[in-house]
Amino acid sequence: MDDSTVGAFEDFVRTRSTALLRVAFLLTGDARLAEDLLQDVLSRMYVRWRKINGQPEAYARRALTNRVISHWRWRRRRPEAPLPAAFDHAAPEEPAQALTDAALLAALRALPKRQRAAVVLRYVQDLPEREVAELLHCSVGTVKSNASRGLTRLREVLADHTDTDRSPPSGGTAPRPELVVTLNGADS
Amino acid sequence: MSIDGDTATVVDRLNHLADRVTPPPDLLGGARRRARHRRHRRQVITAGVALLALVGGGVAVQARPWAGRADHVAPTAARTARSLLDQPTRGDLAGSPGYLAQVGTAWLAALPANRPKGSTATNRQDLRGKPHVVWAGNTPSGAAAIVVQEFDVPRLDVPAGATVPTDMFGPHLAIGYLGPGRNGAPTVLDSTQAPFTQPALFGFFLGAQRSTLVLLDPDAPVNYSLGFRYRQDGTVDRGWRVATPRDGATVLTVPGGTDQRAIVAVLADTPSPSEFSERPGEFVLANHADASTLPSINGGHTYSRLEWNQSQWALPDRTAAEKAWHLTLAPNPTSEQVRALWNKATGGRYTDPYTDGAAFSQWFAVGVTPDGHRFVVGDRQLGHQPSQLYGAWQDAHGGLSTLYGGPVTPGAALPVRLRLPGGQGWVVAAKGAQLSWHGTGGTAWTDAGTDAALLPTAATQVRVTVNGHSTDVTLAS
Repeated sequence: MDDSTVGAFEDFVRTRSTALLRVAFLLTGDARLAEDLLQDVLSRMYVRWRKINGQPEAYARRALTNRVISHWRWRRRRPEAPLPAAFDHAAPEEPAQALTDAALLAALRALPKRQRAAVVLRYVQDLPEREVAELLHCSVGTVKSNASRGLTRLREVLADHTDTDRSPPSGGTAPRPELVVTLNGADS
Repeated sequence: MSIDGDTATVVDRLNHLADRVTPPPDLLGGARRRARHRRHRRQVITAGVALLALVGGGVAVQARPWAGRADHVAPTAARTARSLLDQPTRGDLAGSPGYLAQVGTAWLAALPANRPKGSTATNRQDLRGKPHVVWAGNTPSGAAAIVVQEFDVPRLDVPAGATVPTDMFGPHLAIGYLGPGRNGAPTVLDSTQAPFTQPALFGFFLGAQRSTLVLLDPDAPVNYSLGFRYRQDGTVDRGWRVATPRDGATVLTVPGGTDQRAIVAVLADTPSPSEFSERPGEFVLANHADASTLPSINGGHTYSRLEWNQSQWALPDRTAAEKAWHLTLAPNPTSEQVRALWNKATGGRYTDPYTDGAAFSQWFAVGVTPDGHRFVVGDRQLGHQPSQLYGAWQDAHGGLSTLYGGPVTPGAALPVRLRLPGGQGWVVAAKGAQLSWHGTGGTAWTDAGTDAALLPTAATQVRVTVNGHSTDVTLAS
């Protein structure tokens, strides 16, 4: 690569890696794994940067989604040792807020993978259903149903914990979710 | 897409969760390292082209890992990957059939039985023949081995419009690197693949702290470097050493505190690569420690580059600077042109083509001095060492030389202080600061504007004022 090509790649990484990493994080529920998969995708893009014309972000998003899906398939065959928790750079939160986040993250991770992917790609990434269907190698109807079910589950969790957060601290005996957020072993 | 309020709330909360994740500082460097591993499987680009571009002012060629050889030397014909299948086992454990059998068993057991869909990852389904241990020996970190086996890379669908190397698919060599596991038995630490025709340049780290490096002997001279340092003039010194293999491999002990990401081994006759080009003749080093595997070793990286995003200051004033640039560059010095000149001055001996994580300057102070020199000042971080301050210095005839200002400290009151040659003054910069100066014996402060300034050589102190708080900085005499 010449300097200008390298510069363009660097600019792309500098300006878009945060957004891409966040997509990977929501798809995997694991910050370290998301970093790893994104780095892998970027390394592939680096090698073939000159051949990626036009819209590198679209290419990266597609490649990243495919990489995540490949990882899911791989893990079915070869479970990995869990990595350490990786939310260490999280900003401190109000306890109630952290509680909601922890519950939402746990619920996101507990979703079937295709539901999770459909929610993230359709609603967070705002991709058209047709594109999500292509990425996930399924029909538009499947995308709709997966996204709907996943979203419904997340709504329920959010509603439950929003209500819980509003209740007085001493008002009930119902067990609360752990505040400790661990991000490993999401895929089972 | 129109979404209802509940959905928007969920999406907002998901975005909030994701907002707490930020890329690691080494993301770019890590991607480049992986790209190198990936390129290992591609056809070797013939050396002899893309040699180091000499810096405009006639700066000498970069220090090279080989000595006394002309430029444009093709790499020595090292042993090819394919030939390893026929090579007898070497190493002091070559005569231990029990250990060799354990290596073969561990190698196969570590691989998935079937081809992962859509992947060319090594798997038992696509292996051919039998595992062959090419080297097995005792090291300071325990018994180690390198096992190889023919691997038929399955042909994948290639995206429309994409081109792939001719040797992307088909016969390859799968290479497994083994060291002692928790119970002391041989365990696969990492694996790579290489086309048959590529040189057999394989090495790997092992040990709890990755303190042992094994380089398979390619039957050709090999040099290695444990890292680089900056000389007083800002040039980079790799401190190349000659590898001395014994019985099939060179076993090195990596000193504690070494940044393993900076370790390089190359065929001794390989021409120095131009920056960012392919690097034929370089070993692929597997299982090195990175921030995700062993943060205690290599996790200390932070960006020390000055994050003065997209800043460009014309000194001493815009009109004069633009007029000066008009002479040799374009009507207005665009960022690309400024960057190109600065890159030219800071290439060659001033950079390290074996470092993947180069973080280039996000700002430039450009201008013209009273005697007509043009300058571009910026900083650059190589790998995980502190960012360094450099200047391009160009005379009226286009002659270019390089100025070096040492490491920068982003948190300092005045991070940029570079003395220009010939009594042409100082370039100083502190983004967002109000700058003023005075000389020896003077007490009155002379305003020098904001962000950056070209100060006369008589300046001895700079006052840096940010949000009403002032710090006085003494310029070195």
